[in-house]
Amino acid sequence: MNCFRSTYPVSKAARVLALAAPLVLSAAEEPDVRGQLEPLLSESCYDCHDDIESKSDLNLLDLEFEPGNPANFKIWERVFKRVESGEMPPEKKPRPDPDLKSAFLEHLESPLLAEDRAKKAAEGRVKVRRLTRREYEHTLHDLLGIDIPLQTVLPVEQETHGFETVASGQQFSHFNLARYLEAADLALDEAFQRATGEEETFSRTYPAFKLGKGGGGRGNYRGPQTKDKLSIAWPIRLPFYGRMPATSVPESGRYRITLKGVHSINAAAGAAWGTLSSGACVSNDPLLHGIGLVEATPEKRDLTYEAWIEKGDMLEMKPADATRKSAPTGAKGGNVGYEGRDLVEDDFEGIALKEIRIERIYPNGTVQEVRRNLFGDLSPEKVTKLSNPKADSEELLRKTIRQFADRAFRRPATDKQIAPYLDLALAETKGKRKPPMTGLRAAYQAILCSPRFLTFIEKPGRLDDHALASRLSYMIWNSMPDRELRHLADQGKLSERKVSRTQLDRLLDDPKAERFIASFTDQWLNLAEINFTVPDRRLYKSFDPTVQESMLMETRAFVGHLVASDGDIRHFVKSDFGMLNERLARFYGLDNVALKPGSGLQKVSLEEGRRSGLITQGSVLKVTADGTTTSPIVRGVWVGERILGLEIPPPPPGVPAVEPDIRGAVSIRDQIEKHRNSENCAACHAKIDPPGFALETFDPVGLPRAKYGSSKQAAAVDPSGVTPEGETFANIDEWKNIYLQKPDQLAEGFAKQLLTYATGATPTFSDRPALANIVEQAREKGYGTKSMIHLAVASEIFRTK
Amino acid sequence: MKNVHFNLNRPLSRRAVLRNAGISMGLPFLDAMTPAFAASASGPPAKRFVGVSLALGLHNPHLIPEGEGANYKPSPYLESLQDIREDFTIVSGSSHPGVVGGHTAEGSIFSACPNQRGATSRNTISLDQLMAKHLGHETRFPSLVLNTGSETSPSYTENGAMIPAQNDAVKLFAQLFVDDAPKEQDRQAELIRSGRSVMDVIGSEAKALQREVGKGDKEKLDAWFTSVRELEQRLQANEAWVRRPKPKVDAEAPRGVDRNDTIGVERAMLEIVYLALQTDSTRFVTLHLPGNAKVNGLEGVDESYHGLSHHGRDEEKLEQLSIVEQAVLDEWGDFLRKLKAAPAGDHTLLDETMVLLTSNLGNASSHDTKNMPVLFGGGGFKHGRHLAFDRKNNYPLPNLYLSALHQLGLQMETFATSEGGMDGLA
Repeated sequence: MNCFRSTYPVSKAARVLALAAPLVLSAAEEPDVRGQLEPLLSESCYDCHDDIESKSDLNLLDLEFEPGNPANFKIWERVFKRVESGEMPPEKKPRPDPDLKSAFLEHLESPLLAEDRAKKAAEGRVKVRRLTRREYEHTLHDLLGIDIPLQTVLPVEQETHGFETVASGQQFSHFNLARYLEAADLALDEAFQRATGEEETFSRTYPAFKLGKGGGGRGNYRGPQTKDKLSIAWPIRLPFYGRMPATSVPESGRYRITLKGVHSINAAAGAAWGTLSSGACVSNDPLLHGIGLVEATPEKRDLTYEAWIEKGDMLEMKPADATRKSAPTGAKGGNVGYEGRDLVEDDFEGIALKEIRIERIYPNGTVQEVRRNLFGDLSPEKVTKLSNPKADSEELLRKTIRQFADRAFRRPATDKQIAPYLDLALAETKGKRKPPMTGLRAAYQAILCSPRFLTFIEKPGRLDDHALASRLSYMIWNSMPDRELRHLADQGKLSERKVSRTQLDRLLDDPKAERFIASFTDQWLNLAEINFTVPDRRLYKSFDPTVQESMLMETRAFVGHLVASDGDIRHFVKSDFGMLNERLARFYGLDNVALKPGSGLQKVSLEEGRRSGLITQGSVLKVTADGTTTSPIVRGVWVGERILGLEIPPPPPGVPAVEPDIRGAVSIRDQIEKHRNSENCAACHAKIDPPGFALETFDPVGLPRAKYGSSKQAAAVDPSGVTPEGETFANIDEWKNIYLQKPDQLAEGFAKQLLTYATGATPTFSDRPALANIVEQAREKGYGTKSMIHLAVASEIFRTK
Repeated sequence: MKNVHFNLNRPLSRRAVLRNAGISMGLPFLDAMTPAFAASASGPPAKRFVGVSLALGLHNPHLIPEGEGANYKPSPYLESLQDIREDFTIVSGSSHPGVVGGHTAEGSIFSACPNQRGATSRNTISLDQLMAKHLGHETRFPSLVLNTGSETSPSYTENGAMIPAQNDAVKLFAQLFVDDAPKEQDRQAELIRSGRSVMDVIGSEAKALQREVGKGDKEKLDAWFTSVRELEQRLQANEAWVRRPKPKVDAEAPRGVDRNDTIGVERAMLEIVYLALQTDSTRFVTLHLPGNAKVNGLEGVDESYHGLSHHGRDEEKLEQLSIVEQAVLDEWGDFLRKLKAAPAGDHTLLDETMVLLTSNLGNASSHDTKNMPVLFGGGGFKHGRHLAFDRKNNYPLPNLYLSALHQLGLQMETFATSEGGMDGLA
């Protein structure tokens, strides 16, 4: 935009003529692209985008065609897309001549394609993507066989285009590096300790009388009531109510927790809901870590959980259902007492259990496995030799370091590559009377800080087998390739279509595929933001943490089910089923769905109902609202970008934001309508607003509403609208029906999301044919979700850097 | 029930926290660079900078005073700061050009980096870090990056990477003023030693790798290489500090601060910052109050801070919001008073310390980034005025940042989108 051709004002007509003339002469040799574009530009664009008007800061009149300049490329790419989609010229202006338009697009497309392809061939789309902290933790767990949390040692990730895997937005500084040094130290401490020391074991059962008291009432007592050999937690709203000091664990570690004989008392209908958490449970260390939901039914059941618990932390279990009446504390101050009252008789809803069992577990690896991870196939004698300061160990170290580097780097490590690590190990031990083990540990620490471990090494062009193995494995498992994948890569077989197909199925069938469902779904749909705001308790009385957690579970399970069953992606918009538990069904007001209390999340059929589909699930409606009010713009952008595959540019500078006003009858919709009347805003808002308007039917916690607020003067919700293509809809159901008819658009949007997540960069201009190809094949396969994952993985986009 | 957090991240092992503290926070920065322009003979008028940033703005109608210049009539929020009226300036009608995006603009609070989506995805260095880069090497901590609740910060390195914030007042106090046990000092020393040899290897690995990969990757690997070098320098500097005793202060470590009481955490943090400045442990500090901050413990407030910031002009919500915002401001005011009461040579600590309060949001209810709230105190400037700029066509706030750099003796020509020094500030 800074490439003005002339500093003198020239009339528009003169400029056009000056350009048109040389075009005729030189057309036979080097095509003058800028000249070829002129006819449409002068007919349809210069009215607004010239040197005088420059709407949205765009002056096409003076814009050169220099695709080699990335900023210039971006502008022309956007011009191409907006003309192609018919967004520009805007609705109110005359339509361009169709021949002129298609000639324009043709002339513009091929040089842009050529430029983008050349750039990709030279550099690739993705530049040095590194492990996210989630991937880092899984990788170290698999590489070493340990269980300790490592994510929280590393800085929080930032997301770009919705995903933290996107390389262009990933942070890297000496702060990161210092944390990697620290995390590697922690992880290796743990691994070497387990491989060479005594295994910590722990297994205890706590009967009801150890968990609580029959009376209480003093000494800051906030535990459950022990009664008739049962431990009962009541709906008492006091911080840390339900804490059980006896359950404090002796060491930080991963534990299996079994609540035995759990059942409800006085459950009004369905089930009694509670939360199980761990924490220090004192006011100067108040953070509780959620372990899971407790669903208690009249029948006694055992419920099992797994969680990392910090040394000294205890369990806390209490009813957590905002719709149930809360019980008085029964004592003065911050105490809870049960003396002299009968909460069963008083009809409070409680959760009872018989006993709790806590066992230390090591799910990621036995001691044998940790040893093999550290020392490879060394015999026990040789491992002993590593502890002997006098041993001549160079060969031993070389062999062991190679085995480790080979796995950590996710490709065969050459002599040259391991040389600096071996040198480090030797420098640490030689002449220092230290055992080779010390040197080994130092070398491993360096390996875990190496860019060969922390980043994905990919060369421009097609990925080699090892890079492909990593891409597949990190996409589905968020971790390093396992033995089988690695073996196939070593043999050079993985890039064969048939082999990679089979492998993808194997990866998806593995329990570790849960990681894909959770991490992809959370990032794609922005679910991590669900904690960002706390809804106003006065207005949304039935919303509580149990509901919020159930919403997250619902959405992940919904996506998981579509993947597993290869369900049609149109279910994102509208479906005939949902994944609900009893609490969520009750929250949504779906009293008549066939659902079995006590069975957690379950697939239920939702024939006709606004709840069907992804976009009307509570989690989505909650993350797109701010806790107090909803904004059709925020929701519209969310649906547009994440479901419909639209690219929505940010508002041009200087446009005042729409400030919600919840006082009176002026609805936010009225304000937006005014805003849209401005020509500057109309083109984008035609895309943004429609789904946002339709979703106004739902309040900030995802419950249906007809009015904004409960007062008499409150404005009525108007969920009607018109799609950018001109279809009208009266409400969200009709909006859904319109988009059910546009599976190609949905498929393209989904493919882009999948590929951005899996490769670490958004598809570029020259990826359009590959995307179109995916959509075409998806159509043949009935738009199955799993099929689409297969198509994405088989595409050129996935298989090249 | 409000206390249940179903966060996906498992708790951080306390061992990890302790160790972490040692390496990433306790590292002073011994940069070989000296200021490009040496300070004048009389010494620069200011030596320190403290930036307090809010994720949720300040309700403009309650903040912006009537009238301009020295005779402005205090707004409701400024009533309680009248005793120090001559020690700060209030600026209205200014913001960072090209910075949009509501909450995502948090990254630009101190960098002023335009963030039009798509145009740039990489942030630029923040004001505090630029200062620390040139002047931070004289103290144990080149800078402190703090947050009352989360780990995010508006402090960015030259590579555009966010610096994770310390959000625990107790640990912060320990890092600054509590000597590690000899055994822990040994361990730290060992970690630093081994860290340095690891950096040697990684540095040459990054170089070797650059030769193996395509040209597109080279630039990113450069960032790796820079990071390795910077960490090496920090580890080296820390070797000198690790056995040197920390300053003794006549104050106790904060105890029992409820993490959900943001105002209480703000107070505790600013108290420690005051001690850190007084003992010359650091000279450059940012403290961020995040968008999900909880405000337990404030009389008359029973909703979440973030929820209240989206008041939608509802009177009851605005009333509660005012209580929160007034409390935030009053803590800032107390901090100024404390600096003012502390002698430093011929003048006061406040004379040597620039203290800023601002936010990425001018209107949190609509996520508008124009008309940022700006209070600027101390640092040897002449204060006591309301600098009123055009609220429709905002004045560039980076001009203030440039003036702040000049006040430290750093004669940069520009900072971000600045157009010159701040008008009306002398």
